[in-house]
Amino acid sequence: MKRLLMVLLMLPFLLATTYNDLSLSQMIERADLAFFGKVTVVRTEERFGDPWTVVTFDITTALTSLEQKQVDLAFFGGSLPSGRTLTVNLMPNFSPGEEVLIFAYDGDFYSPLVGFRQGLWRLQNDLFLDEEGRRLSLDDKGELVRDGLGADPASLLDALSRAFGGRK
Amino acid sequence: MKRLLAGLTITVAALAWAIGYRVDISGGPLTLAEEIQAAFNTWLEPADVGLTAQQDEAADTLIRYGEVPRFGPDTLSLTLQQQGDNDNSVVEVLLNPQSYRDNPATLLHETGLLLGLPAGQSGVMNPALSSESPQAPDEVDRAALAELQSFAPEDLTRDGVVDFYDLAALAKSFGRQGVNLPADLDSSGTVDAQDIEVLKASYTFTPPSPTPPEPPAPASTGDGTPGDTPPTDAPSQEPLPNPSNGGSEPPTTSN
Repeated sequence: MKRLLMVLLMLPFLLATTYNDLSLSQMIERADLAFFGKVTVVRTEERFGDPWTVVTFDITTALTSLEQKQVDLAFFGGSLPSGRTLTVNLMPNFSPGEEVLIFAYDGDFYSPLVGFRQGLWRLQNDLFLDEEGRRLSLDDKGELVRDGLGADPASLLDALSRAFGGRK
Repeated sequence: MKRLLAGLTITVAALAWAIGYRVDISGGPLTLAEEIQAAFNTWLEPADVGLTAQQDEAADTLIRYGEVPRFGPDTLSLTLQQQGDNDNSVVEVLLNPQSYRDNPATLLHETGLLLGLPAGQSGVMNPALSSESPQAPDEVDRAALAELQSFAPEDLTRDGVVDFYDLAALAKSFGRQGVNLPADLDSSGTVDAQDIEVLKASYTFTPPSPTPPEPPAPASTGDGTPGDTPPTDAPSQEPLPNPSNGGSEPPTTSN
């Protein structure tokens, strides 16, 4: 009886975010900007009365045409000095020093990432891992695939550069 | 336009307990409350799990429409958890009024989670929706719903006892942030020391079995929620330690 009560008390918090499932080619087609870079600054600021987390990336490799060496992306949610905290479910978090591959929109969206969180891969142990733990890879024909055995990061970035074709 | 706050509350009632949520229909289709009710019915009517739905205007969980321009082209719904100075926690589900109806799985997913099911990587409970997403819960979903009522929240491994393996599962998720993390037992949004205290209150001090329980399905990243973002120094996905050998060797897998 106690267990059932505890389960029911937890129910209001068991919620989630939903988004359209995109293929890799769809994400490449939709992205306004794409790059491989390093997280340098993570800060929270108040926008429109709500906390937003602004992440600064130093661009190591631009996959689309980018003139600047740094990019700021704003994500809905965060903690303000007032103590107000807004957590957005499934929203990626970033830490300074992380190396990431980003496909993003040029727009003030709750999440600027293409596919809400699908356009993000973190470089871990020489593997590009998406938020579901899948390895960005190259197949036998050298084509990009979202879920494979993994591949050398430099080879993947070369393949992505070709896929984006220096798009502006 | 006058803000309409329809106090529809879906109360999931088992025995004498009930929880609810409100629906604010301003800014989008006026039939949202009915659509949510229909989504609940899809889950509950054939399931015969002893749950019902009813209204409650005092609920802390609110479902409403968000600002269309902020969703971008890909996001259908967004779940927020807000905490202020007074530690009051409010959960809001924001729906994209222009696209949430594109896929019926959106409301099925949200109501499924409201019923207590974790997000997963397949079926209705997959937050990444497509034209191939199921239009109704399948037998696996319903079985998971029935199973959910059988275990305490602290029983993270769903083996019927809160023990060493649950503590290990919590440790594996320590530091993660998100709205519906199974190991976030106090629903603070972060798996932290307070969750250990909650688990401690239900801990059973018995010798752990030599083999760990099978992990609860459907699994996703981390501890069952694809949304949980691990800290950069979070431990990688590793098998649970085996207490029978002091934790120095990987456990054997039970069949």
